[in-house]
Amino acid sequence: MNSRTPAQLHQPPQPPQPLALRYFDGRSSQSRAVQVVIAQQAIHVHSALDASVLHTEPLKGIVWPERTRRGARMVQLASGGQLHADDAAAYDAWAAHQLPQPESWVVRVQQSWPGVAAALAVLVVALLAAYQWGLPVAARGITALVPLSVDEALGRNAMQQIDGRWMRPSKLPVETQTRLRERFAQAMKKAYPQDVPKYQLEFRKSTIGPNAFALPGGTMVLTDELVDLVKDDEVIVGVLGHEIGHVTLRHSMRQVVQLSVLQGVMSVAFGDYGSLITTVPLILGGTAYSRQAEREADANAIAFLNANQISPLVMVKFFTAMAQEQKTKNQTTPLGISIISTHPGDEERIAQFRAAAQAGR
Amino acid sequence: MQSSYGTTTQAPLPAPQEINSYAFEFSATGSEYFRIWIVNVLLILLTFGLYAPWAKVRKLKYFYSNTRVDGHAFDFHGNPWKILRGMVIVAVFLIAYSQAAEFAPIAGAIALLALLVLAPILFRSAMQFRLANSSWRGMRFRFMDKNSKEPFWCIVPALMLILLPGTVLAFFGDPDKDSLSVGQTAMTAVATVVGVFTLVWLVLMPYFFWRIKRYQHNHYAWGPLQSQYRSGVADTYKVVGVTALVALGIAVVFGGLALALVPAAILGNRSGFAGPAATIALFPLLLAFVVCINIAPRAFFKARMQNLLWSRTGNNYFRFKSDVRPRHYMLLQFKNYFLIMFTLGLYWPFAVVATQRMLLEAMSLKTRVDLGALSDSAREHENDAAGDMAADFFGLDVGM
Repeated sequence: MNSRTPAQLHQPPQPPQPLALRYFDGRSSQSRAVQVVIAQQAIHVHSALDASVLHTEPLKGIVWPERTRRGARMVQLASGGQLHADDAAAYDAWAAHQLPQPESWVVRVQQSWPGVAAALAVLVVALLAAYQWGLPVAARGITALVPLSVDEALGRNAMQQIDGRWMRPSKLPVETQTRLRERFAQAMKKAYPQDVPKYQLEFRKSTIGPNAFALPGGTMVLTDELVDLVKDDEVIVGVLGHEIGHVTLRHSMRQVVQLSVLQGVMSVAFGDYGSLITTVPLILGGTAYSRQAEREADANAIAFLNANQISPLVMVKFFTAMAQEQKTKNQTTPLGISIISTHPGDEERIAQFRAAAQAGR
Repeated sequence: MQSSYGTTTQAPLPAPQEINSYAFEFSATGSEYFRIWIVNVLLILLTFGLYAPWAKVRKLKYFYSNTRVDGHAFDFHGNPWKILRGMVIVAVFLIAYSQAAEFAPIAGAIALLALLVLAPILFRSAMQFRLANSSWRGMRFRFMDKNSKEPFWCIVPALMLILLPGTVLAFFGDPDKDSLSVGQTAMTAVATVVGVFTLVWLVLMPYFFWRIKRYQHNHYAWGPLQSQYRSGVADTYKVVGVTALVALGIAVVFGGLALALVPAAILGNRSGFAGPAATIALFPLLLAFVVCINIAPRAFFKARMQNLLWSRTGNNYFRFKSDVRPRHYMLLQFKNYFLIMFTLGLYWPFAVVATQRMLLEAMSLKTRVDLGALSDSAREHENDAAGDMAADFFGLDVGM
């Protein structure tokens, strides 16, 4: 029994059959009515008037037209000539039997709705997978190729901007600054015994309330308000353990790479319509990746605290203090708004630190 | 010897006959292009972009073979492998360009210089490639410029105007010293320079745009026919000016609506009546403004510019006419944007086909020669050359 379906079966070349086409020689816009025959791995173009041979060339190198609904069927000969079909259906029927190679599977998929539905399903799955896993992994790889000096330049630039807008020189007593610096340096040595990553700790008085953030290249900023709020060096070590995670994992650079790739893909897929339409997926993608980065930095904070024999519960203290501060102020700071969307929920993060404290006990 | 119909090396044209007019016909459908597009996007994704040249060729062949004049369709002959090579070259250059400044300022300066020199050359070779690989009635088009300096005059000053403000900023705006006390005067000076450049750029942009378009439309050829662009720079400034008025009109209308709503919002809040509604209305108003200002002026410009460009392209033997209705075209773009948004992008291929249909079906070709009896005697002398008139219609950058 033959298990192959007729569609899969590559039909043996049938007896050569002529087809009426119009022949252009490539140098003139005048066409000639011709009869075309395929035989002995070559195409033979005969005049329809007197059957004289106008042109012969081997099949190799000829570009055959693909099947579309109303598109013209034009054969591109290697010699520069062309054969045009007035009757597309007749051409398709002839090509199906006379051409030595079957139609490309791409065209078969493109011309069948079930094929297209399957392609759409695979596309959706592939897009989700690329978005969820592919892009973050690729961004990590690309980021590894970018020299650290780029991070440092970005960080310097960002610091200037932030200083101009939201920050004033710190009013903290010098002793406090020195104490915190030394405490953190000590903690860093314990957390990274082999090789302490490059970092720089800065203090600033801010106009945006208690906050701590890390810039690409290793600059970390603590605001006076945060130091005053928590009043506990171990909590500050925990917060900085989170921030140094952003630095060592190069989250800013990865975010830049991810968003540029996302934007590139969008503009390739949607062309002219890209500019306006892609903003929504870009924002959504940006915040999703940012939440992922926060989770990674939290995990880093836990490892950092464990290396220093400090309970991860200090971070719970920090979240509680921040929540209270927000309640008393009853307002959201400019960065506070972004916390809502760019960070995972406080409950989730607190639970994470509680679980880590349990596990470490 | 320069003959009267444009090119120098061609056999004489047949005697002029009465004028014939041919409308452009477009038979592509959104649903069919949707099927081609889905498969293209999937294969591009699965091959990490390497399929892109094949996707491009399939797309162009689909649009070309569905565009007919006098019953004859266009065809595209580009070889995907060559397109892939071009894409890789450009990508390598762009990566090198963006990284050069990181290694040393001098490398950055050299890369900038290389960009200035290479951009016009790439532009010309892209035009040559696209046109040489397009055909109608069995004859390839040709781009009739081999080595003139015109592309440099069009592109280099325009690029310099774009790049100089950034270069100035990078030079003065990046003192490594004390970040807290950057000289205010220095920053003001830099801001002034950048501002002046932006202003000069805005004023001169239409001029360079016109020069680039004139360069393109002066060099399209098919057989013995070479096109000329018969429009002065004033026409382009006029289109840009009217487009600016459209944008201004939108801003005034929405500004007026907002001004009417803001006091209502404030007053209403105080009296506790009608206020919340007015406040809520402000947000959609802002959204509508962003959508309108992004779509309407651009669509208006596109429609008016296509009419100007093609209605003034031709020579004594042939002429195009383009009659896109700007209002219809703007409405179509609004419809496209909303449907793309609501279908999460799936309407995109339908939008592209609808747009091309409106642009192409507004076009016609008038000619005094028998288009079916021309020959391309120059082809016997040069192997690789041609020109195209369809390149621009497809809204793509030229064939890299």
